[in-house]
Amino acid sequence: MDTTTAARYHVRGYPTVLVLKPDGTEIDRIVGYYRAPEFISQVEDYVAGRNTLASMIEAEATQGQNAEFVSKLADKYNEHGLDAEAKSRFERVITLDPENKTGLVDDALINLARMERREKDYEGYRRYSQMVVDKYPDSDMMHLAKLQVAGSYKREGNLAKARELYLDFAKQFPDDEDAADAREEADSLGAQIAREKAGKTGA
Amino acid sequence: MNASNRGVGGWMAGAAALVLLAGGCSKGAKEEGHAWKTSYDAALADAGKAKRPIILDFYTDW
Repeated sequence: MDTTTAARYHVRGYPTVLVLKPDGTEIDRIVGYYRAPEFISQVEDYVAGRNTLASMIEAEATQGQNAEFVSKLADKYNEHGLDAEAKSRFERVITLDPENKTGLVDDALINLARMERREKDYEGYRRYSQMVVDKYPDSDMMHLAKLQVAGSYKREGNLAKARELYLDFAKQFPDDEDAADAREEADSLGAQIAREKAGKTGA
Repeated sequence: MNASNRGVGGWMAGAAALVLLAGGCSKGAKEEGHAWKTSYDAALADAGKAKRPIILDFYTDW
């Protein structure tokens, strides 16, 4: 029943556990790994109708101006593969908390960036990643965002720009756990650029 | 750091369904001898008869 059932319920990753009504309609889902006690309490919540997407949609009428609530709703929509709904809520988190007092805005931006990447919109992927770098330099996701900016150029085929940014990253954050990877990425891009050059002049 | 390096080929993916019986998740399953089913339709039929919810697990073995 694997792929057809997965497609029927729009399951996008593993592990995903669905809690269904007796007639097979979805109550809600659990995406990713959780420890047993948390997992069981989520299933119990769902069976009782608590913390479900449906109940959160209802609660949005009264809590729609609360960044923490809206952030949870955005994650929920994201887990359900409902991209348009997720995006608009992540965007609202940014509007509701421009100074990132909740610490949720950089998360929202990274999520938005990844959704753009999934849709192969690398300009959007870069725009959201760059916003983390520019607006929230103290964020624990700033380094990741910088790597994503470099990656966006690579995915667009702008290898020289990507290489330059990976090199900048390695120079700027030599002690970062990803510095070696960034250097390696820059080296392999350098080799690829050289190959393409040789290919052009050779032909 | 790069999740896209992983290939998809060769990974086993599957799904299994469990009808939740009265008395809680794991307990009900154990004591009444009910087990995970790999047939979606069979699980749905059981759940309909028992009027109980279902847990549907999409998993992989990688």
